[in-house]
Amino acid sequence: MTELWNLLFIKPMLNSLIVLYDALFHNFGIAIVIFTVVVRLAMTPLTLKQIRSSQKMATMQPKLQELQKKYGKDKQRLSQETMKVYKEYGMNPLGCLGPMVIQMPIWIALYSVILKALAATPDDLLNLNKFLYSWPIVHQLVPLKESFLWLNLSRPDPLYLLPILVGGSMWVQQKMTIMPGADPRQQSMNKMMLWMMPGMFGVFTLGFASGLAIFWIVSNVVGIATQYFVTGWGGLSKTPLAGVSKPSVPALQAPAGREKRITDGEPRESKRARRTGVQRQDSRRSDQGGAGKAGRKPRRDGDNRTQKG
Amino acid sequence: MVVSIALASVLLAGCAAAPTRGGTGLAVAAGKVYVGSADGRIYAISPASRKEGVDFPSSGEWFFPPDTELGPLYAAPYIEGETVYLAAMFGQGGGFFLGSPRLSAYVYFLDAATGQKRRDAIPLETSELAIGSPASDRETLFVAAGKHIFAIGKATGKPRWQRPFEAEGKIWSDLVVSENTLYFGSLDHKVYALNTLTGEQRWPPFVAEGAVAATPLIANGIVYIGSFDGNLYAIDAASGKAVWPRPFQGGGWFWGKAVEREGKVYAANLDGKVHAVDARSGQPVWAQPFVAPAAIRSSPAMVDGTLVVASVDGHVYGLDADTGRERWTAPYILGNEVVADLTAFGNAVYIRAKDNAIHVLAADTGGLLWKPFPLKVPSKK
Repeated sequence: MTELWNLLFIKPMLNSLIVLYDALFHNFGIAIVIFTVVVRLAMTPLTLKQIRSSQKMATMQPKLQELQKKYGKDKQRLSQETMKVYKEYGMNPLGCLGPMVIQMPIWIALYSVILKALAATPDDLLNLNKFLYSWPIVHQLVPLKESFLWLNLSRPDPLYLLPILVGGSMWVQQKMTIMPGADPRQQSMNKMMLWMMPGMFGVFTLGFASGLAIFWIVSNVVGIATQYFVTGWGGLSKTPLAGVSKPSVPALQAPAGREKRITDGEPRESKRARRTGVQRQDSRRSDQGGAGKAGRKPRRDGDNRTQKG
Repeated sequence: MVVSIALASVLLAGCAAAPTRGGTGLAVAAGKVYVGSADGRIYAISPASRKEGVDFPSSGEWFFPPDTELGPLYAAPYIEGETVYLAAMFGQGGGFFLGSPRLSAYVYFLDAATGQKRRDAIPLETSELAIGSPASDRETLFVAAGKHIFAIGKATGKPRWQRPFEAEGKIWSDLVVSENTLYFGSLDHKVYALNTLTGEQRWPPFVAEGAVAATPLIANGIVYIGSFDGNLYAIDAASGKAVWPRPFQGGGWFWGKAVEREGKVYAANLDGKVHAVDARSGQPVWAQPFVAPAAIRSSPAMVDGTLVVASVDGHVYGLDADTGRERWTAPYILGNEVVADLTAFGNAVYIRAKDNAIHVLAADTGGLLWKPFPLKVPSKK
């Protein structure tokens, strides 16, 4: 199994990274940045699928909570009704797992490859030798140069800047992806995840090689950009930003055949929630001007929809 | 999803990448064996006591430091006269939240008989690892740490050069002094020769096509040294010019130090091959190289025409130096990886394996001379 893992993931990625290092004037820091961006971009279709699955799940949440209230004690009935809702929305309960299962080994391999390539001790370098192809170029290049800006890529950041960037970028990405839910337990869990995980990774980074920290930061930044492309700032913005137009990717539509029922007689907030997967809070927010969503007229002062005080 | 993948990658990489603690090759002097252990200590061992199985430490045996431990130890101790010189890392602080302790390189001067410090440790003002073993001439100790070579007065503990010498890459080879010249290889692909008095280069560095981590072998005015480009080079010690028309191409990385006997040079590489070449011409001497099933990282040992080599999988072979065929009836299987250089003294070959124990074999038969001795601090009774 290990041999297969090395053959399919570790060796190709490691040797490619070393060749990229050669092409980038022997700058390993930039090679890590570019390689991480390339790998993440290659996984974008899966990432987008993952994000859309999450959005759909959020859209379904009110329905699922209703079912929970209605059939909470009848597990069998609850299960049946839940599956119906999934079917109605065209969702596979395990649908979000597919992209994750495919991405996870690539992620783990990329992390492991950067760790191996850093090879700061004789034992590490000896180990690295086992993963090199017979290309003369890779044997002539190792060990790779470790210095990048103020950093030694095989050691922690002496200025403690990277841990802050790792934690901060992870927080931003988490915040963008969190879908506010009516369920207090869910909200509490979201809040905990929002602060605990970035904090934890920031602390981990204190002791990790700075090359790995760069990988994380770049990866988070690409993740933020991908998320923004689909959902905008999402949970990061409390109000729509001025001049920010709706992302070009079409928002989720309600399942076919239900559109008429959705639009007739239902509050506009619910319609909006179904389209974007984001439930608005009860307190109305005033539009900052500009088109918050494509196709809607900007609100003006004195507009009946905006009622304060 | 991002967080779960990040966590998984950290955990799995953590499981796969256990921290390395070093552990050095051995030095033998005045009937004692000195070795740096993976537990951050240097041990002085009496072969006679170990053969008898007496409790450690017996008379004349010691370990240093007694109450704490040093950082990762890679540089084999260097013994001259009654002093053991040790280049080691030491540091404090760190912890779960602060990460690893910040280590600095130091040189220790220890009494070879008792293990007591002869003077306070001398800081080298660098946090780079000291990997190659030191060397000395009459008055000066030479120590490598990171990219730098430091020249320290043995009597004064003060620097002897105006400034430390700086190579372009890390220096992992042991240092070798011959005829007032300090020789070493560097990971910047170069072989250097420095004037021991001034630290100035005697000749422009010899440039290989790959990193040079091997220790130079000086024999009959020629420097023999291998490189990660798979070549074994012969360099004129006085001029720095290549002696052979072309380097000997062995295939895999040459990392261990070569050995010389009767006009032949023997070197092993990470392909698991042991080559014998004519010292003057660089032409192969054996009909074919000996091939072990695993890489050979450590320097071989030569004892009375028997070349003893150990591969990383813990197999030890005794080869006929003239033919390359196995002399022992079977290879000795240590059961643990071997990356540290082999050391011979008399008929005994000393091997420090990754189990952090000393194994001692008879060079003529491959038989075990005494029970493997684990390098660890004895528990207090």
